[in-house]
Amino acid sequence: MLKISRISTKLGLVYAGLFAAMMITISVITYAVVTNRAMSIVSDEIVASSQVFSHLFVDRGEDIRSDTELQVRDFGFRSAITSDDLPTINSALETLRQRLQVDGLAWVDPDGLQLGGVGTYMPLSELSEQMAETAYEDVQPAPGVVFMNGQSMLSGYVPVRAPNLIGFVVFSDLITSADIAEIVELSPIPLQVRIEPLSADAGLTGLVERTEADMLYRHEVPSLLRDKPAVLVLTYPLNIAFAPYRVLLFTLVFISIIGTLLITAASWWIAQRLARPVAALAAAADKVRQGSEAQVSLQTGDELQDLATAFNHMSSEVRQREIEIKRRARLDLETMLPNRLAFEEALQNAAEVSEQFVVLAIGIERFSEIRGAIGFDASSDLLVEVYHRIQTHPQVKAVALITAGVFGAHLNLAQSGDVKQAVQTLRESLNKTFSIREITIDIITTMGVNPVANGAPAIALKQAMIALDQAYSAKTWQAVYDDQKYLQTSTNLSLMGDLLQAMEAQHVYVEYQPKFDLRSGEVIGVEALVRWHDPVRGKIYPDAFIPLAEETGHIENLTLYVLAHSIQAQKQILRHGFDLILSINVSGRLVGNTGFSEKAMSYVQDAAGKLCFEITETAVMENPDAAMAALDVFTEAEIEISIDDYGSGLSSLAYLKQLPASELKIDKAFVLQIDQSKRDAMLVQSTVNLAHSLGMKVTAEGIETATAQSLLASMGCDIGQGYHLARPMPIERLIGFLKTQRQAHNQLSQDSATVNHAS
Amino acid sequence: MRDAVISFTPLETVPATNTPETNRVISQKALQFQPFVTLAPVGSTIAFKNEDTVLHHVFSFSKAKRFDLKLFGRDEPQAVTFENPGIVTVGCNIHDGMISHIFIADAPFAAQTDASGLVTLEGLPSGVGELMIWHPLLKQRGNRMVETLTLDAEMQTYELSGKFRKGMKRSTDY
Repeated sequence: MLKISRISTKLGLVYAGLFAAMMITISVITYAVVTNRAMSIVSDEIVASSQVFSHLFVDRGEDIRSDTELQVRDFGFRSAITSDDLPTINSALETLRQRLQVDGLAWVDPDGLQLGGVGTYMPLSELSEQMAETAYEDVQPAPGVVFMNGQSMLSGYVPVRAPNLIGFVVFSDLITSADIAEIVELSPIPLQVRIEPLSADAGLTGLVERTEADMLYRHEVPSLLRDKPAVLVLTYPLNIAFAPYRVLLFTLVFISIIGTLLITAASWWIAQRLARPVAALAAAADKVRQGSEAQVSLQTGDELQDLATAFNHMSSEVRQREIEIKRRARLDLETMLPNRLAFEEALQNAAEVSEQFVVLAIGIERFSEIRGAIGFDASSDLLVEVYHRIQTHPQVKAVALITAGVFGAHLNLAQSGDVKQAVQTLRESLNKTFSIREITIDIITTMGVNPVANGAPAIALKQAMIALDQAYSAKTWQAVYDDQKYLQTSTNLSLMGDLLQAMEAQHVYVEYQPKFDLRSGEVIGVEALVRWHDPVRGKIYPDAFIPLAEETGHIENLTLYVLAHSIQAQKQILRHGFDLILSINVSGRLVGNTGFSEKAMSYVQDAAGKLCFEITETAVMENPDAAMAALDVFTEAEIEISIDDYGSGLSSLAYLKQLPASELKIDKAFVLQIDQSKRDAMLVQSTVNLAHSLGMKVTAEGIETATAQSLLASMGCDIGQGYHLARPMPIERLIGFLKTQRQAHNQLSQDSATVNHAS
Repeated sequence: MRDAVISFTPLETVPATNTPETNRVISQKALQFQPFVTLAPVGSTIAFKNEDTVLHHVFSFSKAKRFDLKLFGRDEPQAVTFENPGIVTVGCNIHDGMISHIFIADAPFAAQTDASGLVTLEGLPSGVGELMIWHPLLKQRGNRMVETLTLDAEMQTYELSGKFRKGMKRSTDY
């Protein structure tokens, strides 16, 4: 579809279109009226002429007939034609023909028998019957048209009496083109006239017809022969009929075309006058949109000028408002200091001048505590002071308050070696005491340093902020942005994303490490240990993903996953006849998480055997009250509690005593060295003693040698686990292992029984 | 119908021919011929007698007898002898309305109907013969009808009928 976007084109099209439509309508109506009028005039003429012509024929026929009638009374003529001598008869007829000035005469007796004839006369055979009928009647047969060999003639006949009827004289007069031309001249319009036999399939008579090129009218004229009617056909060419009006129509069309052109030109001119200011306004509006100021000067003296004036006012005000908005957008509204946006713009400008600069993120340590202590207003004043102090540093080019308690600073350094020096001096100046509203405040600042090369401003600041975080984590007063460390973090994040999928895909699974009674050597329980085998990464160690899962909160799902799987495994083991305690590691993060506790309890109800939750010593120590409450929930559900990794933290004995734990697991670190370090052996011994005194069993993990096993057994350690005894294994292998163990044990019992018996 | 001529021609016997007459007169009176129809045997002579005060020009173009009696007046009777049988139509060249028919009969028995349309032929021989009826207005070829009859000695009555044309204007009443 054609799209018209220009006013001039639209106006031109509309006006020219309207005018053209109007003129076309007028032309069409005029044409119709004129045509009708012309047709009706011609019709009237044709009809009138046809009547005139018809009368002319009738009159001429009658004239000849009456002349003939008179002439045949001549006595000499009658004498001649009643003689039996043909030459005499014909000479009498010839004389009469010349008197009458007709083309032919014939002489027939009353019965229609021809007795003589001269010139061209009509075929008599067709006449005899008609004559015979009227022969003795006193009627005057009217003359009429007769056709012969394509010629038309006016014929008639008159009776000859002497005094009785002795015959008829038939007369014929050819209708020549000259005759027709003569009568056509009588018509005011140049008609074409011909005489034809009226054939049955011809059109109606007495009706003006319109053919392709002519108007046609058939008028029946008297025919001598009753059954051979004749018509006068009058035609009139339409182009002649319309000729007088053609000039009128041409004039109309000419006026239409000229008018349309004039109106198109005029509307185009008006539209131009209208469109140019509008285009100027549009261009100005576009400029305003792009943020620059635009003024339009119009002197048209009409509404458009008013619009331009209004536009100019608007443009100025928009500009003012925009400046204000921009200004405010670059300010921290509490302190009215430049904000992050202002800083990034400053960096952007700096980057355009020099590619190398340093971005600092300066964090005020424990700012929220300071704010809590001195109040919001004073802390605002403090920030302003800090801002000014940073700003006064000679190498600082721009400063801004990025977030609460964190400033961004842009250092412009001649040499990169100066960075450390500059940061040092800046920090020293900030560490000097501030005096705010008669209060003296000391602050400690930490610096995230980002020496930028080819960095985008936004990224430069972000990296400085990361450096600041890295400094906090490292507990140092400054850190330079370390890309590698940061990338590590993103790898970890993706690992956690994968963990969820791995659990769904069962790539995370559980292995079970048997726990042995060190006295009897029997397996008394298993510890559920989570494993992750990623199809791409391969085996991922629990040390790699469990701390991350704890940090990111995924540990809850992971623990519940292990709990659900191992409870099922325990049932499976039980079906093979092994009733073992199932130990599950519960992260310190989950102790005190009531959501987790509730879900865990619902799983536990389904358990078929005894359960034991292993909780690290440190977890319990960090949040004693919550831990106590959670542990009570567990013990109420008859879940045993085991203190894991005992010895790694600094447990207070008094506190340990209050715990509802029934087991103490000695940290691997002590057990691994037990056969080499006397000190470790002593520690283990004392721990065993202590636990026993508190009524707890002692489990040693990490038993890797037979020596260690026997040592621990001798120390009174109750339960042991470690590679020397049995590695962690999948459930299927565990069942096999347990069966082998039972057989061996039974054999041993029998043997010992036998020995006993023997002894 | 008056003025019809009825004739009978025996086919078996040859009768004696009629004697021509000489005393017949056709007068012109009040611009009319009188009588309208005259029956006369072959050879008869008929006199044309003008009784009007105007002159008449009596003529005939009939084949049986063509004659032309140029203008004659009262006391100038003209006589015409009709040698051939046939019908002679007589008119006046001056007065179109005047017409008279003369039937010159060669049949041995011929008579004219009277005002009541009756005619009687006497002395007819028995046997086969032709009966002819003629009237100037009879709608037949030659204004005549012919029938073949067989007669016996008794008197026989025939009723004949035919179609007639209307009389011409200004003609004598029939």
